[in-house]
Amino acid sequence: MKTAFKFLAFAGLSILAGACTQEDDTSIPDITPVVAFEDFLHSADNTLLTIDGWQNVATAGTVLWKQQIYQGNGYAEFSPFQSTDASTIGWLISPEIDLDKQEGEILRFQSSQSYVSSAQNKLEVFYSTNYDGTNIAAATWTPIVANLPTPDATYFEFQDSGEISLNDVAGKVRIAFKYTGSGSNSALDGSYQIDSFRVYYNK
Amino acid sequence: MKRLVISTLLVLQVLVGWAQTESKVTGLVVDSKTKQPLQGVVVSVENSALTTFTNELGQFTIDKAPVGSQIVSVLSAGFNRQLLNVKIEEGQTLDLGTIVLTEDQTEEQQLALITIVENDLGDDNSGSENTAGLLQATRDVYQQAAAFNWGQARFRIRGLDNEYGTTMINGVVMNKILDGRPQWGNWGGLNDATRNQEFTFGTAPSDYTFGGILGTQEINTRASIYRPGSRVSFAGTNTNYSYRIMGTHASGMNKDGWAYVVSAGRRWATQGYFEGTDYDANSLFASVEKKIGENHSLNFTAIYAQNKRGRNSANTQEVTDLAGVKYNSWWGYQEGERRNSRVREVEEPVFMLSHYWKINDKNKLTTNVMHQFGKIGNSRIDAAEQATGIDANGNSIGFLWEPTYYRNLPSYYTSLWNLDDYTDFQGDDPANVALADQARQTFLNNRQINWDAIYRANRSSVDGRSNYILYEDRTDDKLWVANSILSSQLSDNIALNAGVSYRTLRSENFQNVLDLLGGTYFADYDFFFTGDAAQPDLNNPNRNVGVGDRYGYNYILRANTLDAFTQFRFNYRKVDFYLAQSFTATNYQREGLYRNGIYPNNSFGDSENVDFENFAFKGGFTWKLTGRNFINFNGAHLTKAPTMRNTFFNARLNNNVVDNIQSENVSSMDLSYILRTPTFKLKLTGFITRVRNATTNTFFFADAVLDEGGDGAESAFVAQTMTEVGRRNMGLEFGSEYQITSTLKATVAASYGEYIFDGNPNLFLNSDSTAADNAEILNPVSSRGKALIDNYRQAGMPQQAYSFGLEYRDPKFWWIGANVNYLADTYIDIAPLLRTNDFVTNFNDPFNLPFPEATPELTRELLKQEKFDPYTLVNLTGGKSWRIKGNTFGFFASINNVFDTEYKTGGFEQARNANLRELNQDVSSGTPAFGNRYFYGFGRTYFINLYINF
Repeated sequence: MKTAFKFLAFAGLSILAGACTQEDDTSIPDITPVVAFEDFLHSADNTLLTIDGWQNVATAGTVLWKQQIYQGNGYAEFSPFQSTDASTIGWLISPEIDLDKQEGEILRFQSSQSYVSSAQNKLEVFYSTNYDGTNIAAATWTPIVANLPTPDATYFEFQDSGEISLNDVAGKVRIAFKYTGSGSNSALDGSYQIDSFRVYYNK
Repeated sequence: MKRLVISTLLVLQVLVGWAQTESKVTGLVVDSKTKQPLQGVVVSVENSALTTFTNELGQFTIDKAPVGSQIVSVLSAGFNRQLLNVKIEEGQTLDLGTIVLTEDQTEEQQLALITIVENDLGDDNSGSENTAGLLQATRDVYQQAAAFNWGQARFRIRGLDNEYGTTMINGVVMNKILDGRPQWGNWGGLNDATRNQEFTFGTAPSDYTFGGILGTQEINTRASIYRPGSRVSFAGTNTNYSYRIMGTHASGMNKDGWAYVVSAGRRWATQGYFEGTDYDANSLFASVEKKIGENHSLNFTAIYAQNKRGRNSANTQEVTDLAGVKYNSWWGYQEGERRNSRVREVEEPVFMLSHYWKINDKNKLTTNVMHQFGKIGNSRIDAAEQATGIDANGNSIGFLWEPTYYRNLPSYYTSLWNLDDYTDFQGDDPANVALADQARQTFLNNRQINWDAIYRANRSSVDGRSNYILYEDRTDDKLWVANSILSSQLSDNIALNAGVSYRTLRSENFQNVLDLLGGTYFADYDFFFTGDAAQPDLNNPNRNVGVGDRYGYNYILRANTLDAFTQFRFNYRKVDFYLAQSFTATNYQREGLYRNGIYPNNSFGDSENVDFENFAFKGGFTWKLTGRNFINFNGAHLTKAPTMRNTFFNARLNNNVVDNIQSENVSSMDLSYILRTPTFKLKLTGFITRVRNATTNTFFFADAVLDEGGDGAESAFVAQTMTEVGRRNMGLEFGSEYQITSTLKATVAASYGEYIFDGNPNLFLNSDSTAADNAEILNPVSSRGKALIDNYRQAGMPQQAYSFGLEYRDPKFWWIGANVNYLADTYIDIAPLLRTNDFVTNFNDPFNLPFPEATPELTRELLKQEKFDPYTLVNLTGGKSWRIKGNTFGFFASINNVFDTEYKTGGFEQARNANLRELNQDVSSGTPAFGNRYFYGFGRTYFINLYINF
């Protein structure tokens, strides 16, 4: 009789001990945290691109980055074509991204070109940690090496920038896309398109 | 009453006693009501091999009875078991005098039970998962609570699906090969005729089969074992049906060796508990036995049960709020008559020839040949093209075939987001709010199917082509079974059971046109696709079909199974134990009768043969600590072939078999302590079962899951397969019964379980669209990696259940009982697709990065499994019987859920929003268009049965 109860108590306890699965003992899918995200769909097709926090600035000429929408996909485009500005430089500058909150950040975006025929007609990517938000010239802009479209690239075919490590950069950073060309020189009036801007990190 | 008997007996015991050399126990058993002697009552001395039966005069004698304090058990089907404390003296005969057996009310309760187990919810031609039907014949306190008190709440013993139990008629397994579940409808409405049942719980040994881990139910229809007499009963209820009439006559064995039983039943309702659920069932039963010589007997059983009933929909909270818990969207008025579009019809008669051969006193061989054929059909409306309809006044009334179609409901508008920019919620836009109000009004005015509008739409078609038809998904089975079961007493202590069984099934599955609904023909053409892919049968393209024609899909499934088992039982004074093993060989094959345009190269003709070989072992013991205390242990390990349904995962369209399909691994263990005294009984059990390597298949509509690299927002009908599914079910069961006085009895039962998914299965999706685009693709299955469902709860039953009951049984043949039940921990059926990594992956992201809003917190919140509120159910039962001129009249009445508690018995997540963004948007709109769908339990219901035995 005594043995029986011992036996049973043991069985009961071992079952209860095992039955400790809590309702939140479940796992969720792995999520790569995305720190900054922009898909460039904010304005009407072929109008001035306006995005909260982003700056759309011309330091030469009057042309600015525009919103384009093709088959529902929005992207940013810079095209001085037929603008008659002799020199045109347009900046598209991201909001501040805090790189001190996490480790191993990666910048990635897509870009394409159309009608670019010269390497002088270029798209460059920079970052700055000391840009004050108004004075572009006073800030330090460090070039970023990315896979960007060359003049022989297929028009309008977005290509992957590759994973660009921002691991060595500290502080609050802004990423800038800089267009250089001319509205009056037909050799330098090609267009560049940017889409799928991301900063993320692997946990 | 009982106490009186016992004390009388104890007095008698002193008075009687002849000087003899060995101890004997004798007595006479009579029916409390008729006062007539009862024949064939089993009398045994507990914890010994001593068992005898009463003769035709109701008398029994047990020779060589063990000396000392013993418990004598008196047991007969249909009566309450009597346990008597006796003291057997050396060399004396103990006369127990007249033992009065009272009728067991469980049999009356069984009649009320069947109304619940039939209420299966599945959308396909499969049986109910509910286990209450399995337990009808049980006498165990816990199991009775599980069946009678908790069955209405869809409680499942040990959290197991019916496919883990084995239901037999005369030792022939009745679980369907297609899904492994018994189809209760095959013998529904024949309660009196299927009353001789034996139940073994868990993996405890059965005389007839190795069995599943849930238990075995054996229904014996041998004509000579029925108590002779006639019985007619009439019942009224407000559950699935309104009325039932049933009549049964059993002849008993006559002097020429003939015995027969006939029974007939009818159940019907124009509307059951839920709106629009009509019911029409007719059943016939006959069993004839001829005794041939001393040792042979032949028995023929025929069961014909036809059952046709309207089903009810599972609704979202939005629909329930608008239309109530009893609301059912599947019916509508047609010229003033209610007509349900989802009718389930089961008609599968069973014919069985049984040969009973008593080889000698120690060996018996039973051989059966069984044939079953017939059809199961589930009807629904097919709409060739999706279009909205108009009422008689020309006003738009939404999509006709389904009033709760998501685009008919207000939430469709109030959950809208700008599809170009997913961050822009538009559900609060005044235009959408106005549209939602309009949809609400339209729905409230047109909440049922508008058959007249459907007819009007069909009649207005240019050339008589019906856009809407009523069709049924049909399964026409032809099953042959042959089996032999040997029962052999090898020695005083060792018994052998062995059996071999062969089953061969031919199952035709097809879509069948039932009604053209006003048109003159229907085009067998899939408007979802174009070109060849739109042709269900390329061998006969562009067919027009009419009533009674097959269309859509058409295939045969063939299965052959051979199984054999042996079981040894050892009975000793201190311990009983057993060992059993079985082997099963299974073969499946599909034969396509259509060459489907999506799968032109692998849909027509024979599939590969799929073979499984499975072994099973089990063993256990009962350790008799004293005559009243027992420890019982059972353990089993087995592999189990996947069901046919889970093997051919897209059987409607092609011959494909799940890649690397494997047998399930099933292990089960339980350990019990049992205390049994004449006034107090208790049983406490701990159990654990594990299932590994299971394969499951489901079908549903999903958005944005199949289109990789495309625009991602396409919706499609998908077949989802999971392999390596694991489940772990463990818990404690408690049952106790205390006879407070001779008339008052208290019972307590409890079940505490934890039924979870164990491990993360692989998830695959089949996309017909992918194959439609490219005929070279034979098997358009894509892996979605692991579904992270480890530790999620299994759905469909309360995982905790408690019951307290009191029963008063008056000596003047009336009784009344009440029980209070508390049920908790019922969970929603999760959609595993939402638990894959793809759920958080932004389908628009070229780098396959997650949605930016996919924080772990939000993801966890969205994927949290819904748990339903616990609830309390109070049930009342009672009955009385009278004896008038040799006939017994009586009634049984019950009121379930006396306080009309509203509760959810289950529900499921809709996988339609298969990614985080869409789900989050749908949920955060406050009015989700694809919210969870729920099933509700019955509110207050009654059941009253009047009967006469003559």
